Amino acid sequence: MNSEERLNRVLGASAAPAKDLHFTLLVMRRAEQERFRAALVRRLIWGAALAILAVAAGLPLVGWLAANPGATEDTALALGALGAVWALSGGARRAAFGRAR
Amino acid sequence: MTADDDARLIAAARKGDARAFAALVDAHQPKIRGFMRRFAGHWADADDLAQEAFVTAWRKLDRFEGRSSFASWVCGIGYRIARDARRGHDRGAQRDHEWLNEQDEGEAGAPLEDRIAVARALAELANDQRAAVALCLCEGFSHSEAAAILNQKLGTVKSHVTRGRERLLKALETQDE
Repeated sequence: MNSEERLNRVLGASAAPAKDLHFTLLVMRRAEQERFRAALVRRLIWGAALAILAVAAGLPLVGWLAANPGATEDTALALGALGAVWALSGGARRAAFGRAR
Repeated sequence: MTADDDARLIAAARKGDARAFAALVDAHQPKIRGFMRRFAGHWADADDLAQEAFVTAWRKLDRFEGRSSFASWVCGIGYRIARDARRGHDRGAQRDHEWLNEQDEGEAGAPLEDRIAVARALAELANDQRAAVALCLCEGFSHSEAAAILNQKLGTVKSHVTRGRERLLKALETQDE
């Protein structure tokens, strides 16, 4: 056998198995981990944004309540109503995060 | 798998169908892993790089325009990942051919001495030359497909393949002396 044929034989030999289910599973697991990490980061950013908004809205409210003590009851009711709306929208939020995941 | 099958699976995977993407991985893994093993030189690292290439491909699937085949596109991703990884690691020739001893000789179909000589010669080629040889001579990509994968001119790839082949042949002939 000459060098040409020997080289063709070496280069023509498959360097990887034809099908390897284990490899496919590893790829899919790794992809799933990456998607989970991305979803977690999105959640953290979303949470941080909400926290900043809450602080930004809460601080002036506290100041205003200190200046108008009589409005405390009305404010508590308004906040309660906002909380109810927030809780009811939970399903929508879960659906949004479910898609992202 | 035909190009139509690929297109159907890619469309489904873009919508988040993990099974469709798994089918794509299943169908194209021999070419991608074969290329990465020849290019990166080390079995474990090469499979790791091939996995990373597929995961990146899934993340960026929306950017796949279909101008090349899916296998070419993933090979291009893998090539860039491996090239960057290789810059950070100095892989010695010893490590490069250690994996050859782990192969089953019958499966590879060529004598171990020849495979070691060719692997050594491959490892000594420049990155672009080795990639061109691995794609065109080992994995059966055309010169133009390899040019697209490596983002190089067609003439450059042809020259890399011709010169790389000559060096591999020389390595086999030197081994006989």
